[in-house]
Amino acid sequence: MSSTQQALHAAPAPRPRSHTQGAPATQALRVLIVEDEAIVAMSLESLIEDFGFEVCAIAATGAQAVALATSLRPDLILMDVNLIGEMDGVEAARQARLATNARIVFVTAYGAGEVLQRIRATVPDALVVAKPVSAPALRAAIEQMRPQ
Amino acid sequence: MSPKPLRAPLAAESVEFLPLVLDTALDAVIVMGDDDIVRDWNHQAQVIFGWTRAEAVGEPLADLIIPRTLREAHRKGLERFLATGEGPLLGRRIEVTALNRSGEEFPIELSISPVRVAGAVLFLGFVRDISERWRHESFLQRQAREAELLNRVTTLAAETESLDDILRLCLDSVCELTGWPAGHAYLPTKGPPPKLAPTMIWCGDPDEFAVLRAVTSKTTFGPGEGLPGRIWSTREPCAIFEVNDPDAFPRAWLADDLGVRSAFGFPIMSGGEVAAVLEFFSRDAAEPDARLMHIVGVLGQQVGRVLERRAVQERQTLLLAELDHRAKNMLAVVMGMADQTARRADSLESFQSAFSARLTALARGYSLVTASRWRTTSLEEIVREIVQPYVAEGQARLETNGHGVVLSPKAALAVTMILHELVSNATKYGALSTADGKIAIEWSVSAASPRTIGLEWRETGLRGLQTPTRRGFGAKLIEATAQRDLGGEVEIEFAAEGVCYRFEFPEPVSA
Repeated sequence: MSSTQQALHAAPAPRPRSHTQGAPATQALRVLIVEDEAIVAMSLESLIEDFGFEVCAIAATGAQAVALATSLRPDLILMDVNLIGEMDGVEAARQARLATNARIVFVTAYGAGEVLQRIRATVPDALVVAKPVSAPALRAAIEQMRPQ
Repeated sequence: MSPKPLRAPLAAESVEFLPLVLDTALDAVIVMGDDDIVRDWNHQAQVIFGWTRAEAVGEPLADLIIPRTLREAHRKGLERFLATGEGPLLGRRIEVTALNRSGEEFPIELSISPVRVAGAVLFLGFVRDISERWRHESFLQRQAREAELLNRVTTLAAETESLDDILRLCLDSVCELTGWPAGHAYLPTKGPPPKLAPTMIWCGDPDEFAVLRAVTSKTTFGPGEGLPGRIWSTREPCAIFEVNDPDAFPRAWLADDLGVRSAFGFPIMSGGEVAAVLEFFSRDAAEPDARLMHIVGVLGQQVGRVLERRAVQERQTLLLAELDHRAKNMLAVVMGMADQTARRADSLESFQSAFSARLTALARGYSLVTASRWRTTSLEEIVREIVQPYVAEGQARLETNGHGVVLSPKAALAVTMILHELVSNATKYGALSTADGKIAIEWSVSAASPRTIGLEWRETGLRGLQTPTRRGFGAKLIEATAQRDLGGEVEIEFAAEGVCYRFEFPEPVSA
C-alpha cells in the first residue's frame, strides 16, 4: 500500500458537526491535518469540526502531506514538525507551498530555537501554535490565517 | 654631583699583602692601570676568563675580556674618569657581558674600585661569573611565561565562541612563546577516507610566508602522511629539522623553496580523538627542545578539555530541548486522550474510569521505553505489562506466541495504546467478559525486505458475537494508531466466537 493510498484511506470523510461554535456556515474552511500521533490528530479533527470547518484529510508523514495538499488543495494546513518518515513538517510545508497557496499553521512542541528559525526562513508567513494546543489558541490562529 | 673621591692611598704594608689577598680571593680580581693595561690577575680570573696571569699582565684589558661592542664605551669611560674623576660604574655592583679566552660572551657581576698607589691610579675589578644564576633565572622566567601562556590560552579558549577563534588563539600564543613566526591549523574531516584538511587559519605575515601558504592550501594528509599526518597518527608532538626535504615534508615537492627551514606541531586532543593539528615554522634551522614539545603537548590537551566541556554543554542543551519537546508531546497526547475520552463519555464516572485506565497504560508504556533508555522495547514485554494484568494468575486464558520483535520508542507507545484498547474492550464486551473466553496473541517479523512486523490478536470462546453496526471510539483509535503512529494497517474480522485484529506495520528502523 502506498503512503498516499494509506493516508487517503485514513482520511475520514468530511462530516458537518451539529455543535459548531459560531463559524459562518456559508464557506467552510477546508483543513488538512498533518500529525503522526493518532490521538492528537483525532483531537485536532474534533476541534476543527467544533469550529465549523471541514477536515479534508489527515496525513501522518511529510510525503503524505505534500501529496494530499497537492490533490485536495486545502485552504489551510495544520502541520506538525516532527513526523515519522524521512521528511519533517518544515520541508513538507515548503513542498506543499510549491504546489498550493494553502496557509500553514505549525502545531509543534518545538516552539523555539533552530526549528523556529527554519520555519521563519522557509515559510515566513506561517503561524506557529505551541503544543499542547488549547482550543482558543488554535481557533485564533486559524481565524488569523483565513482567507479574507 | 661632586666627583666620587678616590680611596686613600694604600699604606706600604697593605701593598705588600696584595698578592696574598689576590690569590686567596674567591672572586676574580683584576688590577688595571689608568692606561688600560692589566697590572695583576689572580687565579680565579684565570678560571673565569681562561687567560693565565702571565698572559694577561701587560695586555690591554679591553682586548682580553671586553666584548668588541663594549670596548668603545670602556675607553670613553676611562677617559672621562681621568678627566673629571667621575665614573658612573665605579663603587657599585653591575651586571655586564664579558668575553673569555674562547671568544664566548657570558654574564658577570662586576665592581670597580679606583685606588691611588704611590701616586698612580689603579683600578681593582672584582668579578663573579653569574652564567649559572642567569641560566636559572632565565629558566624560571621561561617557566613563568609557559605557565602564563597555558593559563591564558585555556581561560580565553573557554570564553571563545568558535573553534576557528580558539585555533587562532593557540597559534598566536605558541608563536609568541617560541618566537617561531608562522603557524597553521589542520582539521580532520570524516571522509571517507578520513583526511586532514588545511583550514587556512594562520598566524604570521601572509606576504612573507606566501609560498608556504599557497602550498598548504592545496595539501591534505592521510594518517601518517607528512608532519600533520604523523601527529594525527601518533597523537604526539613532532618536529622536522629540515622541511625542504620532500621525504620528511611532502609539501616540499610543490615548491623549490618554502621560505621556512624547520617545523614542529602538536595535536589538540578532545574526547580521546585529535580535534586539530597545529603546525609551526621557523625561517632558520632550529629544533624545539624537549621541554617546549612537552609544554605544547600539555597545551593541546588543555585546549582539548575546553572543547570537551563545550561538547558536553552542547549535548546537555540538546538533551534539555529534546526533553522539553517530549514532555510537551506527551502532554499533547494526554490532552488529546482527555478530549477524545470526554467526547464519548456519558457520565463523569465513565470518563474518569476510561481516562485513568488509558493514562495508566500510557504511563506503563513510558516506563518500558524509559527502562530501555529510549532505544528499543521488546513486544513481549509490552504484552506482559499491558495485557497480563487483566488475566487472573493461573488461568489459561491468555496464550502468547512470538519472540525477537523489538520496537522503536514511538512504535512501542503506539502498540501499548493499541493493546490497552484491545484488552479493555475484551474485558467489557469480549473474551474476558465471559468465563470461557480466551485470547491468543501472536507476533513475528517477516524475513522479506523491507521487513514488516505482524501482530495478531484473536479472541475465542464467545457465542453469537454480532458484527457491530458502527465503529466505536476504541476501534477508531486502534485503526488511527495503526495507520498513523505505526505507518501500517489493520484488518478486523468479526466471527461469532470472537473478534480478530491483524496488524501489519514496517519494522521501525530507528528511534
